[in-house]
Amino acid sequence: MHQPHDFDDVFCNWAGRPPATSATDAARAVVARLQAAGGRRQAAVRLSPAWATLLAAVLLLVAGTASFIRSLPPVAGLRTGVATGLGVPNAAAALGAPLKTGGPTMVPARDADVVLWLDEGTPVYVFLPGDGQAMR
Amino acid sequence: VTPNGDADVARARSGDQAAFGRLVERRWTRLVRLARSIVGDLDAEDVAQDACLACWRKLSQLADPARFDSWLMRIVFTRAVRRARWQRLRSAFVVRSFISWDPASAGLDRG
Repeated sequence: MHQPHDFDDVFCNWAGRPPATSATDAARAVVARLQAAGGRRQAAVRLSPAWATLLAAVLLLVAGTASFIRSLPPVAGLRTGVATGLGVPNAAAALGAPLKTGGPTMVPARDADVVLWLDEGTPVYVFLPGDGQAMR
Repeated sequence: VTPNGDADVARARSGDQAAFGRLVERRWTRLVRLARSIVGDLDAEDVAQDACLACWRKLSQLADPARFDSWLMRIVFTRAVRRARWQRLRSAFVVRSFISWDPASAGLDRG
């Protein structure tokens, strides 16, 4: 059975052994790694035009994608003055439910293209107004 | 010359890599002993070297050059503890993989 003081002695002897690599070689290796790290920094600077090219290509791709999306025709199936559910679970039920006011709901649309009806943050209707006001 | 008589600290702070090499050379044995007492034989010198590189990178943050020794030893200690945690995590993963390893599914269960 090992006694604590035996362990201390063994541990001190084990931890206190000289390193396998001599101090001179270790210092030389550290300096070599420092110089190699400096060389990598210089190489990165030399690669900077490549990074600029890559960045320009990415920007062009983003701009092209945005332009393409803007050029797409409007979504088919939506007509002026028609209330349309957005596909969210609550919207379908809300579309079929009668409004509490009983009558048609008039929404002043002014010159808006689209009027969104939100119920506690959930989109319920989309109105596409025709002549300055939207009606459900 | 810094208060502890080590002019190489000041030279290293001004970017002299050779001076930093001399600093490492004089302290190497102590660095490795400290690292070895935490991470064991295999990784001790690697940890000490990594700590020296980190020390070089952070040398401008050293507020008091007279405390270079304790500062460097603290970097070695921190790196060694981090490496020891990683060793423990790795060994736990290996043990878990070994326990869940099924010889039959590996095609080695031949009787």
